[in-house]
Amino acid sequence: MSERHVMIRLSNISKRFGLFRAIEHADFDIFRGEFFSILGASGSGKTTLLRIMAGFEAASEGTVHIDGAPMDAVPPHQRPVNMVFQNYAIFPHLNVADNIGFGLRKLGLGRAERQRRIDEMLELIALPGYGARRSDQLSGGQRQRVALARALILRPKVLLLDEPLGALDKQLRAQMQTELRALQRTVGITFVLVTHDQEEAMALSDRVAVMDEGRVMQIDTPAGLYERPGSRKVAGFIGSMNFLRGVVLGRDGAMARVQIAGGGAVCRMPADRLNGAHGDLDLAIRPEKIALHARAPGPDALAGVLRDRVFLGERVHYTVALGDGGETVIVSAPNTAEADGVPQTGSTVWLSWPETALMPLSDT
Amino acid sequence: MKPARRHEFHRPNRALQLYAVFFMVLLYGPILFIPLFSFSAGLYIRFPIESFTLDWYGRLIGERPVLRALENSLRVGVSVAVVSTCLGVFAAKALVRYRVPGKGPILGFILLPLVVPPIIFGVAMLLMVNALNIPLSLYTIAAGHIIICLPFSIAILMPRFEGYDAAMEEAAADLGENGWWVFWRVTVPIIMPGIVASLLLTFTVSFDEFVMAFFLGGTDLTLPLYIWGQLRIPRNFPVVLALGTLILLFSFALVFLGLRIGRRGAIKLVDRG
Ligand SMILES: Nc1ncnc2c1ncn2[C@@H]1O[C@H](COP(=O)(O)OP(=O)(O)OP(=O)(O)O)[C@@H](O)[C@H]1O
Ligand SMILES: [Mg+2]
Repeated sequence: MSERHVMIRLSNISKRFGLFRAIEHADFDIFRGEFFSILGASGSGKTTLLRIMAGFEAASEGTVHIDGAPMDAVPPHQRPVNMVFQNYAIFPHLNVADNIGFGLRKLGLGRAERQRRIDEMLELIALPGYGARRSDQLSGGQRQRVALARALILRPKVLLLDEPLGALDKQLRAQMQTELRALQRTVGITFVLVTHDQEEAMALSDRVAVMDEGRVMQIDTPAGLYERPGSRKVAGFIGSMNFLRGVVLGRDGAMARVQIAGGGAVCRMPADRLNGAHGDLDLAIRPEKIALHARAPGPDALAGVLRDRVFLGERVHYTVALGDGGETVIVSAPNTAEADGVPQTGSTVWLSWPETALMPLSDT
Repeated sequence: MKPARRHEFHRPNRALQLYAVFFMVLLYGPILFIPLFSFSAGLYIRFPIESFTLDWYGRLIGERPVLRALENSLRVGVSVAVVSTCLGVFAAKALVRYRVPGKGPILGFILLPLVVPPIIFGVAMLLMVNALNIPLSLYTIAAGHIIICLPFSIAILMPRFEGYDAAMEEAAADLGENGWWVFWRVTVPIIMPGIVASLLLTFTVSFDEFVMAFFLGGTDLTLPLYIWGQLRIPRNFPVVLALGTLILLFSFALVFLGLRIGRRGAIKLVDRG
């Protein structure tokens, strides 16, 4: 994609229910053809934001543009978006074909053309020949696919999905994730997916917006969120994370020197990441970026006491208490790292990491 | 063994069974006299019954005023059933789907006619109708019946709306249908069993209603009013019994059908999850 075409623009959207602020100042763009996820804990306002895009809720402030057109005065049935509802909302009085073809009435198609389009969708969702099935004879995964087909048959500019995999068991979920991603590539429609499952968001999306208590905390690619979380909340929400405190001692050139509280060791990290911060600092580091040593590898290594070792098969997790501060750090190492002997709990160990592993956080 | 304990707990309770039988006899026993004596050849209700006859039913067919009253009752009943079911659909939808301020009190107020004696409503309506100079007719009877029937209709329909996800209607709107089409293509088919049950039950209530009709009726009589008039003529009494028997059968059939349709629909919806 050479030039990014904005499909949905949220301009300073806020939503209040009475005095309760469900959404505060959501302001971002979703691009054409993108698989965009909104990730957040329960009650963070994800569904509300999606319903504002679909037109089921009116924003208290701000404007939604879809493909350049303002949507303020456009009711849901006239918006160029379709939605897959959380519990699928399959019509119980219609069979599979009539469910999928529900939206075709307005197009005024002939019988044959109608049937052709429905069959095409059944093919797409890999349920050919299921048209005459009653909707109560479908499994969870099949219902989900029918809901998808019903929304996609109208070729919307955007497909909105509210936790579409939430009702499925774990195995089916993984399978449907793959299918959903493949489907999005096939049809090339912009997908906006709401989920509280960070793995799902990471696996499916081109970009993810992380929400917390009605605020959009950060929008980035999955790798970006993982490697450069901007805040403690985002860092804690995605993957597992160690939180440390430190003091900026000074800079030499492109590197800054930071002393870690507890261990007392001085580490180096790229200065541009600090954004000019000085003094006390919140830091984060991923467990798998830390290496554990039985002997001090150098003056920069952090000393600590090994408290616990948990063998997880592929990986081993160590819990290390730092110096006198008592702060604990989790280290996740591949099991091959123990070739030179299993460290004893209670013994002193040293921790080291690459200079780029340490991340500063903007808030607490 | 565990199943034995469970069995014991569900052992039929003698006292309860006796009570149920006693209750049924008390409730339906007297009613059974009506069909019984409608076949008796004698003019008076007296045991033992000397001989049986179908004459009274034969006389019923030739009786012009009976047929007129029947026609009136059907006309009022059908109109009342249609109007109160339509109003009931909208009221039930509003009460279940929208945040109506003061929902509890409103609901109580709507269901009031179920507990207030019809005679109170009858007198009140009569006063109002007189004050407004409206002539008494089948229309005023129908108006009175709608007041009585609306709570039945709402009580039948509210669970239907509670029984399905509002997202169904949103999904239809999302797929391009405006409010009117959403109503016809999704709401009505889903609540159809409730609509049928409401039509049958409200029709039955109106068809059998006496007190309101007594206060609000003009010269055109409904069946219950006609029966009331005939009771004063002893020689016609067995004919009234025959008529009563037919009405009884008809009402039972309708109510039974209404409940069955309502229940079957409910089970279907639950099955569909
Ligand atoms: N119609 C409403 N009236 C009042 N409050 C509402 C309404 N809809 C949502 N809320 C509140 O807004 C907040 C956000 O709700 P929302 O449904 O968007 O959360 P969510 O992120 O989708 O959560 P979940 O993962 O549980 O679905 C919640 O605290 C909820 O109670
Ligand atoms: Mg939600």
